Amino acid sequence: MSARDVIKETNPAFYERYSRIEDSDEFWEFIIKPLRQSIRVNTLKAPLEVVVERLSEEFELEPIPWVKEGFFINVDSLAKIPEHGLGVVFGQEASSMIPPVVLDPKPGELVLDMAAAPGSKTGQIAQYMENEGCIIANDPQISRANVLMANLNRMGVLIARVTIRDGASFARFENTFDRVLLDAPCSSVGMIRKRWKFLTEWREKAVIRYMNIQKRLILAGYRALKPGGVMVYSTCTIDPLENEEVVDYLLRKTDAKLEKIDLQVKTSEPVLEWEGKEYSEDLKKALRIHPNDNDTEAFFIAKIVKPGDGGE
Amino acid sequence: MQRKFTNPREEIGKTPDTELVKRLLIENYGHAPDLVYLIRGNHQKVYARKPCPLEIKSDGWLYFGRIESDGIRLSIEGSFLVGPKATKNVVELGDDMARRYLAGESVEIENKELHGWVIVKWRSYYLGSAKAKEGRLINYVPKERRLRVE
Repeated sequence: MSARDVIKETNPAFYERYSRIEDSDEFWEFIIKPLRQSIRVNTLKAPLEVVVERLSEEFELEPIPWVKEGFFINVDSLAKIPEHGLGVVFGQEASSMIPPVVLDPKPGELVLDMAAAPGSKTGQIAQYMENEGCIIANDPQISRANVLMANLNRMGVLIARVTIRDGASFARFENTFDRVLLDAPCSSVGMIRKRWKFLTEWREKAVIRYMNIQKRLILAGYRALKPGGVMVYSTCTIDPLENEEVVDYLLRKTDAKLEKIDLQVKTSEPVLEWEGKEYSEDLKKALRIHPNDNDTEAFFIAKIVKPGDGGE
Repeated sequence: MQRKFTNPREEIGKTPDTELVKRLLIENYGHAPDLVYLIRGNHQKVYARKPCPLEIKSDGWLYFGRIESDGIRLSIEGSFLVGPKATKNVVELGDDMARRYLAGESVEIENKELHGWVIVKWRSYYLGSAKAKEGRLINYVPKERRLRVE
C-alpha cells in the first residue's frame, strides 16, 4: 500500500484538502515517514567545536545546513549520548531550529516567546543571547509550563522567566519587546512523522479553531513588539489558513512588514490564493517548508518587522 | 585533606541567601558566579538566575545545588557555571571512568586523602558534584540523567 493510499484511507478529508496544495508521491511519503534524529549543541555549556569533536569520536554527525549548532546523528536513543544527560546537546527537530535563527536575538535584549513549551526554541534563543538579557517564556497550561521549566533548567538557561497566561494578554505590554517569537499552537501536520494521532485526529474544524487563536496571538505579539523590532511567526503545519492567512491578516490590520529570509533551506511555493481568497504577494518572503523539501517536519516561518527606529 | 566546616545549614535565614551561597562557593570551589541566589524548601535547595528588567508575575529559577551540612553540592548545571573558573576541589576523570560515573556508578580515585564535595570534570564537561570519601567518588547523577549503556 502506498503512502498516498494509507493517508487516503486513514483520513480522507485530510487527503482531499492537502492534495490541493501538493500531490506528488514524494510529498505523501514524507508526510508519514519517520523523522531522522537531530540534535542541537547547547553552546551555553561548551564550545561548539569541542562538542562536535567529542561526539564525532563516537557518532556520525551530518551538519544541518541552516543552523550551525544543528546536526543529524546516527543514534536510536538520545540516552546513549553522554552529552544529552549533561544538557550539552538537546534533541530538537531540524526544521524547528529555523525560527530562532530567523529571530536572531542578541545578548542583552528583551525577548518574548509567546508559546514556549516544551522549550527547545527558548533554549536556542538563550544560547544566541549568551545567557545575557531576558526572555519571557510563556505557556498557558501549567503542565506544559512545568516541562518548559525542566527543559530550560537542563539547558542551563539563567535569563528566562516563565509565565502561565493567555498569550493574547501580552497585548498590554505595548512596544516593549526587542523580539517576539510566536511559534503558534497549530494542527501539527508536520508532526505526523512523530505522532500518528496528528493524522487520525486531524479535522478541518480544528484548523479553523487554531486559525482564530493564531490571529489573536499574532496581533497581541505584534502589539508587544517595539518599533524597529523583529517578530517571527511560525507553525509546524501546512494549512494555508494557519499560515499565509494569519500573516496576511496581520499585514492588513497593522503596519507590519515582511522581510526576506536568507537561509540555505529548500522551500515550497507559497500559497497566495486559497478557497477564493487572495493573499499579499509579500508572502513570497515567508518560508513554506514541506516535509519532502529537506526530509524534515513541515514548517512555516515568516519574519515580521515593525516600522520605526526603536529609539527610547 | 580533611576540610573543616561549621554546618552552613545553620546559617540559612541568618545570612542573605546570595551572600551565603557565594561564600560557600568560594570556600568550597574557589569561584562564585555573580548571580542572584535563592535557598528554598526543606532540602535547602539552591536556585540561581540573572535579573530581568521586566516586572511580571513569573517563575524561572535554575536548580543550582544544595546546601549540605558540610558544604555545597552542585547540580550538573551548577557545576557547569562554577567549574570553568573553579580553583580547587575539581576531580578530573578519564573517558572510561567518566562513562561509569555518568551511568550512575561510584568510582575509585587516586587521591585517598580527598574528603568532601568536589566538582567532577570530564574533558570540557562538568558532571555535577560528588562526595569524595576514602578514595571514592560517591555518585550523585540523577537517575533520569544517567547514561544508558548497552
